[in-house]
Amino acid sequence: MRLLIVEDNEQLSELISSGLRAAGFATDSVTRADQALAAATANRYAAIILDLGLPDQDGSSVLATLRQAGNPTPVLILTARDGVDDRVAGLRAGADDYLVKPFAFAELIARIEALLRRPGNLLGAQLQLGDLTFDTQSRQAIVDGHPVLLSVRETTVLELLMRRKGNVVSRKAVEDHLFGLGEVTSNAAEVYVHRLRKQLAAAGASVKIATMRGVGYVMKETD
Amino acid sequence: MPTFRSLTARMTSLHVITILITATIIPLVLFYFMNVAVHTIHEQAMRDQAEWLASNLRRNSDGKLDLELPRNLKAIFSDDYGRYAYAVLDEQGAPLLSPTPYAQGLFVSSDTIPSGYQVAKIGDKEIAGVSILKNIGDESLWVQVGEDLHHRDVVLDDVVAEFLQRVGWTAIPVLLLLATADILIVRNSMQPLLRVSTKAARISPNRLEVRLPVHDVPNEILPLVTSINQALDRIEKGFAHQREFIADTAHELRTPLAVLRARLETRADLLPTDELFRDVDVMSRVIGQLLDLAESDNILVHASDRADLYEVCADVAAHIAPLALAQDKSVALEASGAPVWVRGNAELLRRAVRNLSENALRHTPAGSTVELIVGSDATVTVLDRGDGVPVSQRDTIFQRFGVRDPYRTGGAGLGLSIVKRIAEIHQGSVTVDSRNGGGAQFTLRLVALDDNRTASADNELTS
Repeated sequence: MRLLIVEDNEQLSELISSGLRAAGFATDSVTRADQALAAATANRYAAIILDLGLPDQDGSSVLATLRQAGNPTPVLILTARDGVDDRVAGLRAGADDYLVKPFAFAELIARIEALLRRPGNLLGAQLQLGDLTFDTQSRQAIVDGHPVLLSVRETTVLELLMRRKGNVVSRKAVEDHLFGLGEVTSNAAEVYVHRLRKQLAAAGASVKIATMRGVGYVMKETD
Repeated sequence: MPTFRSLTARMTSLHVITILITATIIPLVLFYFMNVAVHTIHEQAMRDQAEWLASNLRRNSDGKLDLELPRNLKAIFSDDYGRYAYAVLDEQGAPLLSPTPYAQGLFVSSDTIPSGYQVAKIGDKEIAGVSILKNIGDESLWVQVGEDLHHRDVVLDDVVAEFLQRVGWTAIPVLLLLATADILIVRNSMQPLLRVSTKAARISPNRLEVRLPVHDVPNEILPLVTSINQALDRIEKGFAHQREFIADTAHELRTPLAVLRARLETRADLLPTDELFRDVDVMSRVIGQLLDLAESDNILVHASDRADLYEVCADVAAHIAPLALAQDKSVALEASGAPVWVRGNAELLRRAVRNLSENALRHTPAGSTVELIVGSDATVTVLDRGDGVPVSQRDTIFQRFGVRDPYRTGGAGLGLSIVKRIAEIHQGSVTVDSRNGGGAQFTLRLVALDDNRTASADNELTS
C-alpha cells in the first residue's frame, strides 16, 4: 500500500517516511507542488499526506487541482496552520482529514488507517481493539478467538463504536444508525449500548464503553 | 447665531435670513429713489407753472400788479378747487399778490425767500412747490407756486405711499417660494454627502472590506472620502500582513517541533521519551496558544457570522471526552438539544469553550466530571470540582500569563486570556465564580440572535 508524502522539510519528510515504512506502508516523497501533482497523476496512491506550506505553490491548490481532475485519492493535510478558517478551508478544498504539527506517530497512523478503511477504500476488513476483533465483511465479533453472538442492532452499535474507537460517538449517531434498522424508541441507543456492554463483559473482552452524559459513548481498551 | 449640527439646517437658515434682509432693504431703497424721482418731477412741474404765471404778470398803468389768467388756469388756482396755490412777493419778501389763505406767501422763512423745492405747512394744508425770482418789467419779483399734497388728486405721491404696502404683501409669497426652493436645492445638493455618510455608518471594526463610494461625490468632500478609503486600505493590508505573519510563524515554529517529536519517536528505546514528549507537548501548547492569541487579536467577526452554541459545545465535549477518559475523569453536556444561535464565528467560539473545558479538566480531580451547560440565553457555563479560584485572582487569571505555572497545570497561562479576548470580540464576557459544593464555575456570555425561537420551531417541524 503506497502513500505519497508531500512535505518540503526534508528532515520531517524522511522521518515520516521511515515511520510509515515501519508501520508497513510503502512511501514516495516529494517536496514541491509540481512534483506532487506529477506523482499523484502518474501513480495510484492509497492516500496522500499533504503539507500546505510548499515552496512553489500552496498545498491547497495541489488538492484543488487533483479534485478538479477527478482524482479521488484520500488526502490527509499535515500542516502547521490551524488558523480559524484553515481547517474549514482545507476540508472544503477536498481534504479528508486535517492534522496539525507536531503530531504523535500513533495519531498519524490511526488517521491514515481510518482514511483507508472508508467505503471504497482498500484497508479495513478487520477492526481491532484490545482482544476484541470485528470483521466488517462477515460482521462477526471475536474475543480472544471466540465468536460473540450479537443481534443485528448490537452489531451495528459495535461497528459504529469500533470505527470511532477512542473517540466519542454521539447518542444521535447511534440512534441514526438504529433508525436505519427500523428502530424508533427514544431510549434505543441506551438500551442497545447497555446490552452490548453486558454481552462484551460476559465474553470477557478487554474493552469498555463509557457513557458521557449529553455527549455520547466512547469505546476504549480497559487499562 | 445658533450653530446647527445639520448642514442643511445651517444653509437653509442662513439663506432665509439673507432673503429676509434683502426683502427689507430692497423696498426701502426703492421707496427712497421713487420719492426722489417724484420730487424732481414735481419740482419741474411747479417751476413750469411758476414761469407760466410770471409770463402772465403785468404792472398795469396805475402801477398795480395784475395777474391775468386764462379761464382754465383760473379754475385750478381757485380757492374752491384748493389744490394749487400761488403768491407773488417783492425781492425783500413782502407779499404783493396773494390769495387770502396765503397772505404771507407760500415759502417764507424769517426774512429770506428760500429757493428750490420746499414743503410748507399752511393751515391744514401741506404745500410743496418752488419760488423763482423773475424780472417783470424793470423789477425782480418772487413767484411762488405750490400744490397741496393732501389733495386727493395728487396721484404721484399715492403711488409712492402705496408701493410699500402692495409690494410688501406680494413679497411674502415670493419669499416663501424662495425659501422652499432653497430647502429643496440644499437637500438635493446634500444627497451625495448623505449617501457617503450612510455607507460610512456601515463600516464597523468588523467590516473592513467596505469602501466609500467616490463617484458622484462633490469635489469639496472627495479628499475626505479618498483619505478614509486609503486609511481602510492600510488597515486591511495590516490585518492581512499580520495574518500572513502568524501563518509563517506557525510554520517556522511547528515544523521543527514536529521534526523533534518524530526524532524522539524513533529513539524511544534510548531516551526518557515520556518526559521529553511532555516537554514537546508543553512547547507546542504554548506555541498554539500564542498563535491563537495573536490570531484573536487580528480577526474580524463579521456581523453576518452566526454559530450554534449547542453544536460548538457538543463538538468541544466530544473532543475532550477521550482526554477526560484517559485521566479517569468524565465530561457531561447539559442542553435542551435545540440550536442556540449566537452572533459569532463558530471556530473562535469553539476555541473559547475548548480552553474553558481544558482548563476545567486540568483542575477537576480524578473521578469527577466537568460539566458544560448551554443556556438558551446564549451562555455557556463550565463547571469543575477543583480548588476554585480565590476572589483575589478572579481578574488576574484572565490576563495574559496571569497564571504563571505552565508545568504544574499544563497550560501556558494564556488559555483564559484567549477566552476573554474571544468573548470581547463577540461583545460578550467571561466571568468566574465559585461553585456550590466546591470548584470553579466559568460563565461565557454571548449575544443571542433573535431567531432562536423561530430556528427551534423550524427544527421541530423538520425533524
